[in-house]
Amino acid sequence: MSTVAVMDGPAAEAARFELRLQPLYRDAVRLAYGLLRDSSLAEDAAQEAALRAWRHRGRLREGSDLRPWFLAIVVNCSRDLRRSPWWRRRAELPPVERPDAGGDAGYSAEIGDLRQALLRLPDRDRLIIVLRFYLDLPHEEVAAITGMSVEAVRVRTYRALRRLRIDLASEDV
Amino acid sequence: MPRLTLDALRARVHAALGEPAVTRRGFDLASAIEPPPSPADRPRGVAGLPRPVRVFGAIGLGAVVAAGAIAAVSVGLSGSNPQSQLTVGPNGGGTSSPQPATSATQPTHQPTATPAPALPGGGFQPAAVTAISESDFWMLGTARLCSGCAPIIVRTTDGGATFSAIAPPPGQFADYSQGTATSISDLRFADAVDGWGFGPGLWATHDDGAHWVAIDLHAKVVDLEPGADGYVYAAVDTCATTQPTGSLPCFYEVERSPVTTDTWNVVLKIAGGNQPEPSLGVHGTDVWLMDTAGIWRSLDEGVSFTPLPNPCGAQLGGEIYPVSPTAVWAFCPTGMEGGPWLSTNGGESFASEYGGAAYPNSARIGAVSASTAFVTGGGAVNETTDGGTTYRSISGFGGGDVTWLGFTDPTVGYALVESGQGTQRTLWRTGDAGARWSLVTVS
Repeated sequence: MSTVAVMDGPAAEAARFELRLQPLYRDAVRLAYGLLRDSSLAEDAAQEAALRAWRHRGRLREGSDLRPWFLAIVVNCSRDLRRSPWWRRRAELPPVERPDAGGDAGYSAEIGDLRQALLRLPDRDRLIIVLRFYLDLPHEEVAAITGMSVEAVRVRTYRALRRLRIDLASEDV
Repeated sequence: MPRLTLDALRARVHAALGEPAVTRRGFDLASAIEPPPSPADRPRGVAGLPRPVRVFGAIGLGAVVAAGAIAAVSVGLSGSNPQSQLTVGPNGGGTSSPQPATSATQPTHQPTATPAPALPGGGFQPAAVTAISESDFWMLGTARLCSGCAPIIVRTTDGGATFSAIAPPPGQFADYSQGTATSISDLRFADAVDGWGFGPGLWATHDDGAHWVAIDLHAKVVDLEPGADGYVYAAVDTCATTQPTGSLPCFYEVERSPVTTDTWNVVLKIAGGNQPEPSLGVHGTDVWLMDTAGIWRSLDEGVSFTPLPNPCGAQLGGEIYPVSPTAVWAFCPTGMEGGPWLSTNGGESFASEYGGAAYPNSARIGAVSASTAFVTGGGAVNETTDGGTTYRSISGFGGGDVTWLGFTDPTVGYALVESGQGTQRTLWRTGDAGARWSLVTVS
């Protein structure tokens, strides 16, 4: 004989909310990782963002998209982690977890240079690059997350690429 | 400069950043949910599930602490009357030169005598509390939750065991944002007889409410704090009175008056005009004003002010809570969340002390010392006893949302609690540094 537990109340609401957030977990961690360059911290930021989102779920307008709203919270959580005394007390930032660059030494050097250049970018520019080219989000979603206009996102992307000394061949800056 | 296609650029960014080593299976919201309390502990609302709070009035802990400080010292009028003010330009460069003080503002009305009313019956809704000692405190409130209705002031001299009503100012009680030139939203007393109802209007009494006089500072009174030097300080916003013309410059000012008289002088004048309103902090004889441009500190009873950097983000405002000449807490809103900051050098520099927590922008700090502070917001109360390194959650307010919390000394504190989905306000009191809280009943 099987039984069905009917959940109700705050715990059930939290479970439902968690279920809605779960598909965003990987993007949330990747976004935080792109900003913090530390896997553990990135997971902490994503988890903290989930708690904040739960606390402030009333601010999410009915019918609006959960994803940009939540990723904006992830950005804030990552920023707060960077502002925390603990972050400032860190003697040295951990090295970026290196991808497998294959055997092409020239390509590896180029990637290494790009990594260093990304680290030197101002936070806001790095955010744009991470959203646009690491999470591969369209301009419209980048704009929704950052609170900027689509045109402002385009301009800032262009400037960020200039700082990275990258000339994008397509018009899709 | 390499010329890349979009796909090539993406591939390079992916390669440069790599992928995070994900170790968890996903989000865990279970830790956000506390076990539901028993029905006896939770008459209304949903404990453990913070919800946005409605911030009312302009209640500041500084007043409680400052008033407590006054009770602990011998108060006497200083013989020095400042004859200069510091006027600072819009850029806040600190290059201002002292200028003659403005003419003192005198009361605009004859004192109004009001017979002492009877104690309110059930349903008194406290909105502000001010204390001068462990046993002496006043509450400002209304008979029901309303804006634009008659204020009620009750006083106790036995730590809240019994109350008596004193006559309130003739103006109305109204939320600051909805107030008029004569309405009040907050209350301060410096001693047993000298008090002020304010926000945005200003009324003063020097006989414990037997008579009230209206004071016209030609501005909205944002905040008011008595100091331990025989002076009372007010932060005012002249913009409110000049903005309708659209042509006059407007300012944030600190005005000062002896506690026992109503002779107000401008002691600081800075460019204003933008929300949010400035925050005033007074401790002992030191005065701080925080606006969006910076912090202005006086160490000489308001005679001169020095500009200091503001820890909060530009144009977002913040609140300042000095607890000693050196320990100053600040709460800074950000774009979405806010958090506490702490200075240990009188506000010359601040460090963020979030302790891993996040608070809504409307959160407030109940600061006790450099190490101990309570942060209230989002329906939750968190306490730190190590200067913000770690926080622990505080409960025990009947399931309501604490909207304000302040201490008169390290052990005696007060909390204003909203419950019943915002339909009821109550005052809670602790005498053991927050370990236990008791409901204050007006009877």
